Amino acid sequence: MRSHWRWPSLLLAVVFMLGSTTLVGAQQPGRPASGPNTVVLFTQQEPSCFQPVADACQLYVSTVISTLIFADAVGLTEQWKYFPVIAQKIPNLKDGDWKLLPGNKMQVTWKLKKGFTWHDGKPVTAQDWIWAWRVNLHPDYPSAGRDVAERVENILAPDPYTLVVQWKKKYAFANISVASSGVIPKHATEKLFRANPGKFDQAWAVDAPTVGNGPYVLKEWQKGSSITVEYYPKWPGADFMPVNPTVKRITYRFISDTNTIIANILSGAADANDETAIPFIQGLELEQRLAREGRRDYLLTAEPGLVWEHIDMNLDNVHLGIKNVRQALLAAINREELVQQLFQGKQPVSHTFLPTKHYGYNPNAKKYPFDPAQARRLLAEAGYTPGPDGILQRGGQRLSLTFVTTAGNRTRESVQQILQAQWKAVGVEVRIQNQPARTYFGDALPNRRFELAMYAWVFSPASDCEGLYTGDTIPGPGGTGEGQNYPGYKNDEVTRICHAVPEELDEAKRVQLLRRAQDIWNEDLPVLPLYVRSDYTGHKTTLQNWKPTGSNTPPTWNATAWRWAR
Amino acid sequence: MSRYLARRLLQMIPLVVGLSIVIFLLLAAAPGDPVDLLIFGNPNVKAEDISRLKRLYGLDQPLYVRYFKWLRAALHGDLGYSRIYKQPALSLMWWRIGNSLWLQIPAFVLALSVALPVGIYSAIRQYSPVDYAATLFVFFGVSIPAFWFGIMMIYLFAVWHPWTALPFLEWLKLPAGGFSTPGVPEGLARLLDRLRYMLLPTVVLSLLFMASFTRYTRSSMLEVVRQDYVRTARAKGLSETVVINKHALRNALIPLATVVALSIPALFAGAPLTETVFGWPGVGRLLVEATLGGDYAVAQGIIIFLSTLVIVFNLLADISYALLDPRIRYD
Repeated sequence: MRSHWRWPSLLLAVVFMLGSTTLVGAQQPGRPASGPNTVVLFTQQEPSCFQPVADACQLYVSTVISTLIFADAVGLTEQWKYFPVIAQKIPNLKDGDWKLLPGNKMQVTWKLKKGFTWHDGKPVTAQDWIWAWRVNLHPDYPSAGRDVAERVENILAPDPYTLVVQWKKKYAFANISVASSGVIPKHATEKLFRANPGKFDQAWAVDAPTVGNGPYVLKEWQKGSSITVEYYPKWPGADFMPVNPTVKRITYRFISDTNTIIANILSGAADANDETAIPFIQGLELEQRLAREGRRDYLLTAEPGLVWEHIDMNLDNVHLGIKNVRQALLAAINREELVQQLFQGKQPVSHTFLPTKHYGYNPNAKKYPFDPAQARRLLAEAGYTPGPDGILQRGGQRLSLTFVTTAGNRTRESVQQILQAQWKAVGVEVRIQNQPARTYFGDALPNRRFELAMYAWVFSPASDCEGLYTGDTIPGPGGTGEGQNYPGYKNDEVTRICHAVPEELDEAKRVQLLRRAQDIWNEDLPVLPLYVRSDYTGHKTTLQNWKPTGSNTPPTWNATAWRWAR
Repeated sequence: MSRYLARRLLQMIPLVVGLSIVIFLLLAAAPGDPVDLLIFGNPNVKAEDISRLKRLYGLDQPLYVRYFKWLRAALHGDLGYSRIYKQPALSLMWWRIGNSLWLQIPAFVLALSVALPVGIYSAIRQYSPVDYAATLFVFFGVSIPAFWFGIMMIYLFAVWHPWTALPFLEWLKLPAGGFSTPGVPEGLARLLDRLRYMLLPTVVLSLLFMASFTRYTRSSMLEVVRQDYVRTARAKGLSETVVINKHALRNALIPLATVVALSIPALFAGAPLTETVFGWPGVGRLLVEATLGGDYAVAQGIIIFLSTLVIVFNLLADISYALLDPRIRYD
């Protein structure tokens, strides 16, 4: 008798034990997935490390989690206002802690707050910033972000809480970071770095514990699954980043498939998701679904940011070298309808190279509303006449262009098809020849082997046009210099302005310069501006103070201010 | 046999080296290297940064130099470094293969334990309702895409789960993908937690195996039960159980053993679609990510490892023929 029941009893025991491990917190809509002191965030990628030296860890998600573990001198709010975190104040020209020196040089003095400590208890001092800057500039260190760091001549530390940054030449954004290299604990990393500078990024990720100085401490990293951080009780607090948060623990879960993330959101297992979790189109569908089902427990927000979707035109092309053709191509497409149809207007039309949120955006730059008649007129003025197949031609050459973008990107492919049809309506033939990302970004663009190329630039609040539209930065065969001026645009005034902007310290003058550059650029139109991309972040409506920035500052910037509604 | 074995083992060496050259060249021939991909989209990266990074990563050297450097390191057990994951490629690979085996082995065992009895039964009861049902199931299993089935299972068990209205079935609300619940302490609790995460992907994965094993078992069994020696066994008055188990099944399993042996490398290859849908950090997903992200060292390591496994298991399958079927001799 007993032997008959042994296996069923065992089975029942296993079932019971499995049942007892059901996630705590019931995962009911609106309620925290894992208890009132915890927030469970979902994202697609897993970080490789959290080294805040010039974004050495490469993935955006590293920045998202680094923001919890590391604090810097200055932070950025959702209103794009800089605020002091470890710095006592933000230096400025008026107060004299930002000084202009002879020979176009300058000096910026940072006073640091006392009381900030690394998670191993050692104080955060000026030497830690100097160390990060030296690491970033070491010839063997594989940094991809030295542009600003190289403008710094030297950094001095007259005392442990003062930094004097000496700049080789004027730089407009010298007061938003110490030397754009981050801050790392010198005492915990120096030995590792000196052992092998070329592999420091790898060594710190694998061989040493992550010692941060931010409001949260890395508690547990289950590779391939999740990262959990816990509140650092010695966090002294800063504006927007208070002490003693109600959210003591944040868990980041990595799920690579969007549908699975959506299932987690629908099942209540996700308290929030960052920008990388759900691509725009699926975010839009999920938003509609939640509205349709009357679910108000999870709020998705599409925030237009700094990612600018556009089409580069190769100005060496016999047709695209003609300004009328370029202007006609823009006038022939209905971008307003496109963003309405595809994105319900949540990714706004762009009219120039700077996103609307950028401080230098020019709202009065020339616009090209949808006007097919005007497009035809411009083409006729340039000498184009309809050929036997309806496609325009000039001097025996048909106005036929190839159009390339990243193969497999559904959104871009949909945009391509709409534009192709609209251009055909004015007599321009466009042939779609998409390429895999590696070929496209690795070969076609840098070597300027394209006619029309659609992709996006990711700007920062401090970005400008240097390198992109300066006449001396045209890459590829027959180019004028290394850079990313893929259209091959040359305009002396724009080149001069774009080189001058980073060195103009007066923001009002900088705005003037950028607006002037946009006036010229919009008239010349080397690129077809399409729209500004938005990213969907989401959170349970009961999670308060969730404030995505729409910039490269992640939504975790104010995590200590998050709280669950009672 | 031993001469045959020695010859085959020797042949494997140039084959693996040749494979490594082809794989290395194919990956290197793709336009755009990891640095190009790393910097793209960032207008602040300068040309000097690009050339400096290429020099640091050795991407500025001729292809043959890069290959021989890689080969020398590989022979010393160093497959290079993952630029995405900041880890040695080999340890990353082993860890991911281990994760894949967590899914693959139970799925494989589950598939075999269902496919064998179903395949045998539907062969000896050909054209019975069970046979029709099994055939339908096989069609379903072979033709249904794993990613769709996976999403449906997630929807059913993680989002909808109508049965959880019944208190004793509340535990049958399963996680919508992932690997483990953060914060669960190590030991038995974590193991049980892992089992909950494994349940859905294992079922999805086993469906594919199950369908193909059922089909093989059925057709192999059908062929055997019509053989003269089976008829003779029946004529001798042996019971049907003895006829099927002793005379028919043993012989029918020979081709299936080969199929199973050749399926084993696939266990180590992981299941990219299932792993992606369920957010399972397996080697299949790693291979896709490494290939798309230009993480050469990892992609190369995995492909070469899997190719070598295929070669080895082909040899083992050939040997198993000789061991299982006395009619086959290798000289």
